[in-house]
Amino acid sequence: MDALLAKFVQQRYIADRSIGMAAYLALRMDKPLLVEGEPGCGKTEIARTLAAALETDLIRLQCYEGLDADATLYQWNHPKQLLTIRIEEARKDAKSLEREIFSAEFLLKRPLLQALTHEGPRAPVLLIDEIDRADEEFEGLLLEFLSDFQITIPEMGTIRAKRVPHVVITSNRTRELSDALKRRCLYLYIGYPSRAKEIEILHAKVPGLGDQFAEEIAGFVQRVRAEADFVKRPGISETLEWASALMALGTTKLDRDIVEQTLGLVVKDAQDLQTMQSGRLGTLLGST
Amino acid sequence: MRPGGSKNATFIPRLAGFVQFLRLQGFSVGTGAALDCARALRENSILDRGSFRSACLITMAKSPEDVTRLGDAFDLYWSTYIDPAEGKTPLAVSAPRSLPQEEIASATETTPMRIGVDGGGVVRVGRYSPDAPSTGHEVTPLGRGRLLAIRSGVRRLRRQMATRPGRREGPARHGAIDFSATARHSLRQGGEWIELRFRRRRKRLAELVVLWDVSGSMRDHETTLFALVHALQRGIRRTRVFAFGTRIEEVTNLLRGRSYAHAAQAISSSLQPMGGGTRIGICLVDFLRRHAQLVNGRTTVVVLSDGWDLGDTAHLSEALRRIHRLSHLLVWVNPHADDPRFEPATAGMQAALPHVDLLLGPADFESRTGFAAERVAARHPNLRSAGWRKAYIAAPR
Repeated sequence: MDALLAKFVQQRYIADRSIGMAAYLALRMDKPLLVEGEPGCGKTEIARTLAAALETDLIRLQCYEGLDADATLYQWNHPKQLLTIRIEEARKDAKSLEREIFSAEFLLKRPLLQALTHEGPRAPVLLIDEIDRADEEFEGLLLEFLSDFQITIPEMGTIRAKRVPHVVITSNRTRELSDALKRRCLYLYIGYPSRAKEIEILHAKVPGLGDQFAEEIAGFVQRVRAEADFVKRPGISETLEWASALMALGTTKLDRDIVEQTLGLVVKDAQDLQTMQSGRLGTLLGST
Repeated sequence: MRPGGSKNATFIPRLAGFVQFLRLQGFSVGTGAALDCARALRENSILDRGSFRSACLITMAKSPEDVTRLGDAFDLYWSTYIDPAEGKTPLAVSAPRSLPQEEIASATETTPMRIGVDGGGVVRVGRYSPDAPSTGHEVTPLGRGRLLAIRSGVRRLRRQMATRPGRREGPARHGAIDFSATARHSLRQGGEWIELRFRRRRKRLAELVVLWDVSGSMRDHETTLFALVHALQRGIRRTRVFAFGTRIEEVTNLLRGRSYAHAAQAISSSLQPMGGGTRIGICLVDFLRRHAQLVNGRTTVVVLSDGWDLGDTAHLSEALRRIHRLSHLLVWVNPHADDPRFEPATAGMQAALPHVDLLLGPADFESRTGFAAERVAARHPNLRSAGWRKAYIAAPR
């Protein structure tokens, strides 16, 4: 596990031991890892970092409502099949023609099938991102894949994984996932980082940021996050974006003007922005 | 020490005892999760308490709430474990981290606290006994006739909620041509497109958030409202239920997949007393702080409360304003609203009314005419648009 954590650090991902343990166990036990947490706290980044650390490919499936087998598993290349029927029908008998058009050559592989039939030297990392955006039907579709790492294609039979892919599933918890899906996964929850960890992340991801400035940025974001009545609290990604923007503007110290001008990078809800502009900003900056 | 080889024989019963202990604490830990935990522990030394704890959380927890509670249960169990066979050999672990204040208070009621597995394989905890009388909420059963009427009312509500088309498409007799399905079908006819296939967007499933007031003032209505909450959870798949009084906690898992009687039992034994008074506003603010992502344009929020708020009603007003803005529909079910003489006079109701789309009583769910336009309109609902009025008020049958 320490070796894996060291590789995470090499990839500039500041992981605590619980993240390292979860990733390590997922690799060792060949179990999918379900990562839940607040938006922008590094869930997707775990998969990217894992792929980079293992020097393997990352296959990503972005979820949305209405996602179905055609977009996730496979699709037959119907135009190609029709053309082949037209060209070959005079030369071949129906049986062999049918065998031919339902072979791997006519199969369009989608992310899940790509992960199972991956040809690289190492098993790929499969990222199923924001699964809570997809509906329950899609979860049902995933069950066979996640428990046995196989896909059944009626015309071809069952395709099993050559190497079990490392699966990372992320969710923002906009809805509860099914128990069946959760049972098949290891579980990791990532909350907002502590101030010290956020400063560490800032130093790792935004090179050149001064110690004092990093502390000011992290401190301000932590205070915004602590505001109980805000609709959307900023994640680490907002902190990093803001720090990068401030660096690009050549700023080295937080003052009211620059915070006001760039507030949209941290506070991304109209009502929260209004609250900030109507006096809260002064209070939050005042306690710097 | 690794739980393998000769140590296996002593460690596995301890782990099994821990799993049993978790189940008694209300965790849903299946055999698969227990096996995963055992496998995970083979990869780590259990003498490293941090790794041992992490491995248990990663394999057995299924939600952030589980992570916190399971961590506490881990500390409680492994720091006081007494081997049933040896009687006095505790597991070599470091001191547990400190428990929350209220837990410490209740923990001191029975001393010394001991946890072990008795001869029959039953976990015994010093301050917990399955035979002890519950201090939680006692939910008595409701008659079958009323139960069925409430479920019928929930179905009426559900039909009205799921009227918007979603993004998932399905086969249909009419609609847009499904070229992929048509091509697939044509292969059976030698590639000739003789028969077209169609597809159409399917209706989107309703999403529901129920905020259930379980404070003292609601005690008289608890049975009816529990039946309503259970029917909502049972009838509308995407439902999350939160109970509130002086604090708010999610109780979806106590209801999901359980029959009425089992859910009533679970609520009676697991839902902790909320103390005196209701702080609706503070609880709703806390709900938004922790679960705002659940409320979106597809969500219907149902608040079950009498509106007695001992806190600052400004919090209630502000929280409801936000819920109203974020959600599709905000429904308030007041147990007193069934009375024809009812007037929303409490400070809480006064603060809530401007933001509420529909004000109902529990009897509206039991009555076929409960959602009738004239009844709802008589209660001055603040419907957001004429279109929604049509969508949400079913005509009496």
